[in-house]
Amino acid sequence: MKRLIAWTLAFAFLASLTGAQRPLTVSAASDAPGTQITNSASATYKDANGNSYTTTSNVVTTVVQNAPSLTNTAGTGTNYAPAQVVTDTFVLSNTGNASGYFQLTGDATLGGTDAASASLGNGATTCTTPVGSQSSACKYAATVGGTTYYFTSYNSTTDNNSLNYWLKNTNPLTSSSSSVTISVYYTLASNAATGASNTVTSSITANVTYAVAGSAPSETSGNQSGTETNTVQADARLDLYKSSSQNGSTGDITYTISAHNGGSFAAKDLQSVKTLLGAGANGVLITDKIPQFGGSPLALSNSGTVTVTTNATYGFASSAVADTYYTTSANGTTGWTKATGNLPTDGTVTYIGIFIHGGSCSSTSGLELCADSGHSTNPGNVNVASAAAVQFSFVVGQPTGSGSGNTNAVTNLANGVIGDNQPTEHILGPGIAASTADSTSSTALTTSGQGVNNTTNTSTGGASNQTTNKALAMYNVLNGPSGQPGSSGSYDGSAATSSNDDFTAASFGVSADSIANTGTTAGTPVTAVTTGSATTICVANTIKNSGNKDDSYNITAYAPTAFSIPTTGGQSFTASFSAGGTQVGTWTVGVYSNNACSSALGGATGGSASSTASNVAVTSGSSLTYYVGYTAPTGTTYFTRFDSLVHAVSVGDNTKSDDTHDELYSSFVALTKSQNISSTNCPSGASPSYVAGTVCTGDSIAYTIDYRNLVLGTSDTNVSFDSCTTQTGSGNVLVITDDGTVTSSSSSTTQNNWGYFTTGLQAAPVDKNSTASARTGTTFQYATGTPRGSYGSTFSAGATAFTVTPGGTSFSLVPKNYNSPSSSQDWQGTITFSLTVK
Amino acid sequence: MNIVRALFSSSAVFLLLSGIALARPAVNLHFSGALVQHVDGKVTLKPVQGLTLHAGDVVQYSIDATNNGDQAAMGFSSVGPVPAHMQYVSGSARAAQPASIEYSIDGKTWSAHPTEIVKTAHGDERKPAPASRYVSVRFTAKNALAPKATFHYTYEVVVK
Repeated sequence: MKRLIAWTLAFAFLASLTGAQRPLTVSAASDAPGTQITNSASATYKDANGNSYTTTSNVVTTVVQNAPSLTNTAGTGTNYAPAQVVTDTFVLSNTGNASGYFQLTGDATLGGTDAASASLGNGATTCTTPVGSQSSACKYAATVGGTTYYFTSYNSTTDNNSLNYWLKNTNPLTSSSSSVTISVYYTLASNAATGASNTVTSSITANVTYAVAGSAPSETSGNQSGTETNTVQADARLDLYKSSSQNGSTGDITYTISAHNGGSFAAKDLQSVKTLLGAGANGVLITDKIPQFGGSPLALSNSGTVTVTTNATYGFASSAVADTYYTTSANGTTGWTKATGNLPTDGTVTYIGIFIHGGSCSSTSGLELCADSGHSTNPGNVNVASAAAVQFSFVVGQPTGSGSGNTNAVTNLANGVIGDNQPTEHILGPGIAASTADSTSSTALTTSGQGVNNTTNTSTGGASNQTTNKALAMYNVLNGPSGQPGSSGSYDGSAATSSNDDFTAASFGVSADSIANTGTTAGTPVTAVTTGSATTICVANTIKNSGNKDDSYNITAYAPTAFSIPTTGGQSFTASFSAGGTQVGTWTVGVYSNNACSSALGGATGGSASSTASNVAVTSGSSLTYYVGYTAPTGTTYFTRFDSLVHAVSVGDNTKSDDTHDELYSSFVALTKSQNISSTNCPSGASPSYVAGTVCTGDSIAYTIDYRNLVLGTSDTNVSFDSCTTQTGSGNVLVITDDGTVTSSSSSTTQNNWGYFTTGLQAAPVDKNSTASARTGTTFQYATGTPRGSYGSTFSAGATAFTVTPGGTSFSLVPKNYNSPSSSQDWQGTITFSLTVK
Repeated sequence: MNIVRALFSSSAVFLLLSGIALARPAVNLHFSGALVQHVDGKVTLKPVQGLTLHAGDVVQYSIDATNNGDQAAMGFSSVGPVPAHMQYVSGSARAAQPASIEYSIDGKTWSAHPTEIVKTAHGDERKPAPASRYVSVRFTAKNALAPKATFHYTYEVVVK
């Protein structure tokens, strides 16, 4: 037993010498550099007699080296919007066995699908570093103990503007378990692509360096990297869709505007909207400029009712209120009024606005249209209507006037403005420049081309599609004299005055022809003289599209038919063409585009009895002057009225037509001379007896010369007569000559010889107007002798010839129904003079 | 008493440690450590005696028990500590000869699968102790260690 005790003590002592006891605990987490680690094994066993023995091994000794180690833990990725400043955080934890300092091995690297749209730095113009304010953006920050320090770079070696300098020299770690939170800032471009698969990553790589510790030398850990991935999602986006429908009977147009937040962030309210409306709270605004036509807004219909509906399912914010506003301001800059009922229907309302305010999304107030990821919409997307968070509609009367029936006569789109998701809120609205900060100013909302005044759809939201509307189609046409398509008249003075019987009088003839009226009844000229050659008359007429829609017309001109003057009658078109009158000779006709009647209009061909210009386009409210060329055949009798119909019919609606007449006069001024003989001096009882009309010496002959304009018809416009009016001015005026010395033959029956056989004029002739009063302004020229001498203005008794200028050089002989007679114009007159037979 | 003094003499210790056969079992323990390195896909062992280790280094400790006596050692049991600076590598204990392997988390009690009391939301619960909590590895031979025979055991630890 003693032996056993002895061995036990011996081994116990040996154990104490060799350190076989369990090693001391050094550190809970890691072993400080330089720590010596010793270890040994032990064993127990027994002999065959059951005696127990214990033994220990040799000791194995090692030393723990400097073991710098860190973990780099990136924060959780999140969603950001374009133009936002992103802050990614990384926690650098010293997990090694000593104190040290962290260092970044390089600038943070940006990756991901949107890497090209991201730039390092917070975009600010200055950064306040531990050194002070720097003219550069902050790129990094380090947070230790709840205090954050900012840096403009990672690796400056000279001062505390640099993160690495700060980490190494200013704030090295003081314990092996220390950590630093590193923030990396980068800014997303405003045009960064968005969507669930659009990401930006930031990565940093760092290490930790330990100083010499005992026998352990200074050592730097391996690099540890961390990456944070963020998704770039679309900012709040106001998707608007505008639809319209038209009442087929009244033409009233109903507009419906639907709004939905198509972005991934809620739409914030704006103080600029509050300013614009004069409202009591911030909010978002959706506006619709009342469609205009002809520069005026269409008047609201349906009693001025504006219907507003909201739907929380599609993102209408909790507790939000949608109020209706309107203004009569031309550009929406002022005068917004909260509607308390229906809106005015007098055509003064220029804008309607829906003001949404007081809302919250996910318990966050100041948000009016919540993100609605379950219903994808795009700007102007028709789907907005089926996912409308807010919708409003109103009715306007259809436009009226020229062009109102044309496609796109009325166009318009709705606009809206919301706040974005930036920490410093910006205005998101059509035409509003990116990064326009919200403020108390409403200027950005109403600037031309921006906000409520935007006229263009935009893929960035805030503007709806453009609606196009028009009035119910109404075709019509006016066809009349040049420049007067809407005139009304009676081409012969007999037909009922109407738009279909308006006319243009034109004269024609061959200058070489010598026309003589052989008739003795004034106003009913008779002649056997015909045109010596064919002659062409080019008459201007004007067509006007008096409908509300652009249209084309077929214009048909018919060869004229003849009427002796003053016979009434003419061509007509009632369901079909009716010539009336008599076709004399072979007239031809053509329709032309130029006043020389040389360029065909609408494919019209000349040389036939009728000519049609087809599909002649005339925009609504516009006029087109065209020309009808008539070719009178050789042998056309003078002193005749030729009536020609020009029929224009709408292509859009062939029940709409209008006619005009071209009245062609082969000479329009006629002189009718008559005499009154006083045969008192011829001897009675002579055998054979004197034939009637015989005069003897001492007898007197009283002559009357009737001069008149032969043109018939009545019209509401002088244009109808203008080309059949004698001209004024010296050299152009109507001058009537009565030369008594044309022949000295006493047997002539066609030529004047009164200068030879009478005592000549003993008194000046008398010119009277159409009311039988002496015409003022008339001038005379006289000549004496046989044959006559030259004309002079002085009257001499015995004058053998004279000329008369009725009314003087400022006088025009006009058609009877031109205007009331005056000193300068009249349609008819008479010249009388008396002679005594020698 | 004289005998006891003789044993404490240097010569007696020498005899004991040099394995001179005695009429009883006399087991000599040789303990060694080797840094486990992976080179070109192969595992190599580098003696750690005097070596400086880095955190994360894996050390394989070996126990070689040789019976230098003239009787078999019965009920042989050897303990390999896990230094506090190190952490047992789960499943790394190996015995070249039949032996049961047990672990201790307190240096007193042993189990092939140690457990510990863990505070949970439902109160204290007994759960398997993680390998990082092991402080010792014990190899208990299933057979006697015959004279001149050697038992070989290994286990691995990692530097914290």
